[in-house]
Amino acid sequence: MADPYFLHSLSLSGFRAFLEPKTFDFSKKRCLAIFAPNGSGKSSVIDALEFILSTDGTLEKLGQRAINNQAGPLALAHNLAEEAEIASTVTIGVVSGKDVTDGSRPAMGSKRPIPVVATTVNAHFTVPPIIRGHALRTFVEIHTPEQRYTDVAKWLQLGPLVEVQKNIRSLRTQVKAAADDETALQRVDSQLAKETAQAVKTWDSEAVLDYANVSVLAPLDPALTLLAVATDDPAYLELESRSKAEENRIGLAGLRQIRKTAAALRAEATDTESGETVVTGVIPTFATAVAALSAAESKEAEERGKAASTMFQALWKAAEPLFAEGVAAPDICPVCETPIVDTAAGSAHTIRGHIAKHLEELADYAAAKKALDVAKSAAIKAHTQLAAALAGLIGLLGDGEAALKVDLIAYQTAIDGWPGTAVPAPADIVVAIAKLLATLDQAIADIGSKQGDHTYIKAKAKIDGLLELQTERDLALRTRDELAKLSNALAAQSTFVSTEIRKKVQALLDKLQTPMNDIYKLIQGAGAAPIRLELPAEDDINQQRLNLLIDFAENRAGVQPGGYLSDSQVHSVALALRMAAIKQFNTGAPILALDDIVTSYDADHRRTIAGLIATMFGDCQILITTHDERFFNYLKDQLEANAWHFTRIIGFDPAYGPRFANHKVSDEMIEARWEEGQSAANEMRQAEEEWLLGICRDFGVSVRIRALERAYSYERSELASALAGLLKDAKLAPAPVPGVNNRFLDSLVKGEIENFGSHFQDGPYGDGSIGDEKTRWEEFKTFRSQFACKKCGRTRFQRPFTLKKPVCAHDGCEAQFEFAAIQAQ
Amino acid sequence: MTTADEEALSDFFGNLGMMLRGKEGVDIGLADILAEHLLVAAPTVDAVAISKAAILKLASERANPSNPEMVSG
Repeated sequence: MADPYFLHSLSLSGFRAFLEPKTFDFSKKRCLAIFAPNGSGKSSVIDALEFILSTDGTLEKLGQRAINNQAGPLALAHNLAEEAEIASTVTIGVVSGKDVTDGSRPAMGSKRPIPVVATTVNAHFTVPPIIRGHALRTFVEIHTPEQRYTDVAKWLQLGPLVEVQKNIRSLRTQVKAAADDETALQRVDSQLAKETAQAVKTWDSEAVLDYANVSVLAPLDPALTLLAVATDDPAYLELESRSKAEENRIGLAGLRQIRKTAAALRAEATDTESGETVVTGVIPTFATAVAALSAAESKEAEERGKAASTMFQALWKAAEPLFAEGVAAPDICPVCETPIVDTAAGSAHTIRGHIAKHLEELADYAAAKKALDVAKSAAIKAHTQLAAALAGLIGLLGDGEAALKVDLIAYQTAIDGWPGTAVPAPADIVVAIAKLLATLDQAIADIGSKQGDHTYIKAKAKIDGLLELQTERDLALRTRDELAKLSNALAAQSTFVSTEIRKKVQALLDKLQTPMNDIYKLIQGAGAAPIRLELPAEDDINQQRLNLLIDFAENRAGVQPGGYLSDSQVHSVALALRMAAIKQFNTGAPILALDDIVTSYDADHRRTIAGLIATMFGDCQILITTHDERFFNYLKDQLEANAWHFTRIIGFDPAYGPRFANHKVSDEMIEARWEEGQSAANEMRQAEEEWLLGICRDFGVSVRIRALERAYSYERSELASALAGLLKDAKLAPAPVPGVNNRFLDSLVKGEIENFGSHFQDGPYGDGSIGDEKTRWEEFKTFRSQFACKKCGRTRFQRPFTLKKPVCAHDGCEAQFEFAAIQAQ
Repeated sequence: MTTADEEALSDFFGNLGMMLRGKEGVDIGLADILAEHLLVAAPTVDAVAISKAAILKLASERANPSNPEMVSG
């Protein structure tokens, strides 16, 4: 299995809230948590990820740009980026195993092509990796079951299964429509109406029979009555007989015989479907056969030349097995007994090639010869047919057609000479036959018109037309019946197929349902009613829906969560579903971006979610942004420091972007600020707070339990007070800090430090100048230096519950805490 | 196909086609059409049209059995 993909770095420049370039490096710690108050630009980090992975180079929340609304991709770039000449881009580095790949995407302009690396990672995201708190509930409450089904079908890769269901449903509809289609019958009715001069407009056997008897036969002979419109009906047989007699009596039969014989020689007809003229008859057939024969003769002559050594055919055939591939070839020539090496060929291999070449030539010649034989037979057959047809027509023509008869005889004589003589050009005879056919057609039509409407010939043609329509209708009815049977069978078979696919889909859904409920119960507690992902009932027409249900109570089983669960529970359902899906299906790129996901929760639930991330998503790369400091602290408490980078945005400068402070502010960072002539007040506050929190945690100070709404929010002064209390109880007194009389701890207790550098103060540090900052920082470092193990010098402590004083946390030391001597700073 | 499911979809569809054919009283001619064109992991874009044409042809052959050996089911 290939190594999964992780983010290696993420850089923003002139993008959303970030004007100046900022890079997040995940090479050492792959997870990131950012705390920031609202409006500080933290979501821009998640935006950057969404943007670079998006197919259309935008963010879902930006919507589409319309005239003058300034929406859409325009909002991707920082509003000052162009003015500051900062390229608006997002860059990601991605690592798989040891391979790192980078790619950038411009956030300005109409073309914002997705980098290859983003496409590569995207291919491993079955489920979108970004979860935004504000959009979570949508899946549970806003999405229709159809939308939900579409999402989950994609996550579970149900595509082919869904496709089959969709195709079968479509096929059912189309076959049912075909079975119900009356077009063929309507065509028969339309033709019937035309044939009966609108007397019968819709097929009705009785009406058709009545029409045939009353309107067609009765005017000729009232006694001639069909019992049924059928070819074996006695009246039809009688009609057939009378029709033939009529034809003979008026000479029509003779004319038709001549016409048929002439048409057998050559005739033209128009194809009803293609509209093209089709030429038939033995004259063109013979011409074609002679042309084919000529071509075959040329080909045979050509191949005969190539296979000049056909006389050796028997020899090549006999030699072939002796020199076949894989057979031990003879050392001497079997014919002349010359050693093979001394022959002109020189080797068995060359002889083998020689034989193959000659046999191939012989094969081509044999094929050409066979084609020639076939062409000869066809030409002779066509010649025979032509001679017979010519003799037939010549015999039928009377004195009125003497000239044509002479031409035909001349043509016949020339044809008889073939193949000894060349085939005569048929052009003149073709024209003469066409003229004869036209004359005959006119004569037949004239006779028909002179006979009037009521003739047995016309009556039979009419009845024959009805018979054809009846046959066509019967076939259409049988086809429709068969189609109806197939449609019913298809319904049964598709139900079977659908049932099996439903079982398969439900089995796949269970793969998501189980981890989803595990997460849901972890957040909401073991007593939480499990969530069910269910397909619609078997007989439901629309199977492409997914119901999210809970059994809320005995009398409220299978209900929608939105109607029964609390706000946070609904949130938990959605969060559990998305997180479970990402963990389950994005194994190729286990990346999870969580943007402000805990706003709906109380403190206990936030801590639980931090625990959930620690216990169940340890193998994932997680990016979290939050404006909830307690949640941020829970994360810090519970997540592994070696995998997580914690940072906070300490301010937002519109002309710069978010200003970050890494969680652990180092002394060097503070000094670097002063060297740049800048205030380090924020960093100092953070460094002192971090130290205070750490030492209080190490010392196990007692903190008062307070009101629920502030359950886990520790004030700095409160921590300082608790630390002072513990030190006092343990009879541990820090040495005074030279020059300031241990004012540091006092100031913490009083809370003075919280506003240090932020406001004009009457307090000890005046107006918060850099000089004051340095003074204050020296005091802090001096004070802090006392909190070191007197024995080993280490600075981590612990206080088991039974001890009054902390001890060194180092395994090999465990010395009881005493204040170390103040170090000169 | 990267589905986490152990059974490859092509196997699933293959088995489904066989199960369909094995059902008592099933129209085999129709089952063959479904198995050939629709019960596959990657159906062609015109799979429905092809299946429909095959069903219409089957109905036509059964209605006009001039070529009895072609009629199945």
